[in-house]
Amino acid sequence: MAKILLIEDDKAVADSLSFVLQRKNHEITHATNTISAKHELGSKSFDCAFIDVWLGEEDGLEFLADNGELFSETPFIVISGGGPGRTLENVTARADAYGAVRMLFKPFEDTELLDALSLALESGKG
Amino acid sequence: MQPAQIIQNYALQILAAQTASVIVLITFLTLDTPLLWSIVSALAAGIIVLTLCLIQVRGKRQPSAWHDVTQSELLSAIRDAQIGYTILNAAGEILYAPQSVNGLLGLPEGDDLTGRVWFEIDHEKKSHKDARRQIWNEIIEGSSPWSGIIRWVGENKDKRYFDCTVCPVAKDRMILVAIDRSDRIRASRQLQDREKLNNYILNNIPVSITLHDMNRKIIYSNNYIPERIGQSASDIIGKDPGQILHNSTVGVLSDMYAQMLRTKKPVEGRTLSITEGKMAGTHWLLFMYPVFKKGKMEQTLVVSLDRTERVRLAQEKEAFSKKLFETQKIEAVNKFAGGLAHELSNLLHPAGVYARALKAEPDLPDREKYLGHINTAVLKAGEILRRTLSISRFDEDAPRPVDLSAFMKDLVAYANDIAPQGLNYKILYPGHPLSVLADDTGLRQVMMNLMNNASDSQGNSGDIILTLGKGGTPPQTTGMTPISAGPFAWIDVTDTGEGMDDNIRTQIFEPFFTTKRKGEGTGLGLPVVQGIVTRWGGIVTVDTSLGKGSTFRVWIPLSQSQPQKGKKDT
Repeated sequence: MAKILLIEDDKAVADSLSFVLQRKNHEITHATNTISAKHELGSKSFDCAFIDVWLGEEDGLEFLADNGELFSETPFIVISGGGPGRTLENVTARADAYGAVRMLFKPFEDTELLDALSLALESGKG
Repeated sequence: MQPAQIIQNYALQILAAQTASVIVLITFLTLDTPLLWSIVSALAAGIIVLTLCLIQVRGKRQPSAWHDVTQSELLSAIRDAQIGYTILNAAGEILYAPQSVNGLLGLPEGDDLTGRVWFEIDHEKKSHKDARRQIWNEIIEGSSPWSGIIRWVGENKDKRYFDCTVCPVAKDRMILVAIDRSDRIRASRQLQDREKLNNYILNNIPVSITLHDMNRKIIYSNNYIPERIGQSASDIIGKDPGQILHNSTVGVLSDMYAQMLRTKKPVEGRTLSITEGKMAGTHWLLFMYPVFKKGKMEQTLVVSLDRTERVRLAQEKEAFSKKLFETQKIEAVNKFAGGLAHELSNLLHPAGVYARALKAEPDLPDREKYLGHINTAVLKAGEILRRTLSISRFDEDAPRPVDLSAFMKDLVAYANDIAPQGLNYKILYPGHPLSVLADDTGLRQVMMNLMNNASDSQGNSGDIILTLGKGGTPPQTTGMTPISAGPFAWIDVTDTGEGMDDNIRTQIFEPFFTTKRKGEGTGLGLPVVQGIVTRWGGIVTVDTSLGKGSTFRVWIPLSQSQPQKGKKDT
């Protein structure tokens, strides 16, 4: 069982991700914006974090760029469904630069999600 | 006759009588006639002479006779009338010319003209003098009177014009009478020059001017239209406009003509686009004026302004605006595609998750709930797609004149019927009719959208004010320019909600941008509104500040024509 922080503003997406992860007995903490995410990261420790790029008026990648230290102990996976100026190449390049374990583009298979989580948990152990 | 002359005449008559008496007395005394007889005879002779003189003078002073006008009086009158005369021989040499001729010809007083050839005297060019000589010879040979205008050039090249008549009175005697017509001829020349100038102006201004009789036949035309159809102005005189242009153009002219006949007033500013015949592709602005003579309408003046170039420029401008609009649209499409991808992926991902789960475990607990999630996602995606279509739809009703006040009255009555308790929409009318170019369905969608937004921002309570007006130009706050140059009517939708900061204000017309809570808005409402209004040539702008509410203004091009009665929104 892993402790996972899910940073996602869209309730339906968050629910569906939680649905898959909870069925694998992982513990999910859901943050809908960066302020809440900061708070959670400051008060608890997580084995992995999932971060959406388009967070309403906020940008998940900007959040990573400005708060890299918060993720020094927590491996993270970036999720994106695209958006204006947010092409696959562009988002992948930036996510790599910030040290994301993997990049997932919605919609994706559950196995992709779980594989990415395994990879993150392994990298976290190191 | 002067009194001094009369006295002088009488004195002469008395002197003549005395002389007669003295002669008779001396004669009789010489003949040794007795003295008494001699004196009596002398007196008798004096009385006879005096009586004869008196009889003669009285005869001359008959008031009905004209012979008492002296020759000098006559000539003086002729001189005063600026009439000169000379007597010439066949060679044209002056035999006699009164002094007054010098004044008339501008020659120094005292110059003796006798013996000079008349047509050599002035400073006219040699070629002209030669021509005069030729004419003179022809007159002499023909021995018949001649009349004509002779130009006389002075020492300073100043010119005088004489109306001349040459009368042969004998084989070698001609009388030349010259009347000074310089003033009249100069005036006539000026008139001709002015007429030439007027014609030059009329034929070179980019306007067609035609004058028609009451049968509408052309009685005058400047060159503007004839040149364009490869004819001369005289070719179209007497013709009907329909014969020259094309029958399809006559309708507009006939309407104008009928109105002018009815009102007896000018009919101004009618447009005419010619689509057939030699003038096809030209556009005109027509003015028709009645011409009255002694209070009766006798002619029609038609002034036609060629607007072809202007229309072409306007069409080019419109094409350019459309291109600019398309460019803006491509940019918008890029943004839109990103937004659409984001929205749909957020819907598709959960649907995929639950579908896979149900496939793996058909009897999953909460099966119904997950199926419901899938269904909701599909319906939401459908809604986004429908709105996407309404942003880009081009098959909507063509804009037509809409009576804005009447339309808004109906719409607000409907909106108030379905509004939550405590929410009221109120209209401030402009006090004059407003006819705009829009389509009912689109306008309803635009207004309902803005009114709902205003209602949301006020927590669905209080008054939402809708103000109708016209005039002004849209502010450049949206980064877009309306296709139409105006004039515009506008509808303001004013709320007293939270208002927006600059950051939000600049994004509200972008697709998928929303300030509403997740699940409440698609972020497509305002882009759809903007899309509809820009298709009419208008634009939506917003005036807002944080904490003070917002006013959305829908700018719609004013229509030149009135809405058709009875055709209401359905």
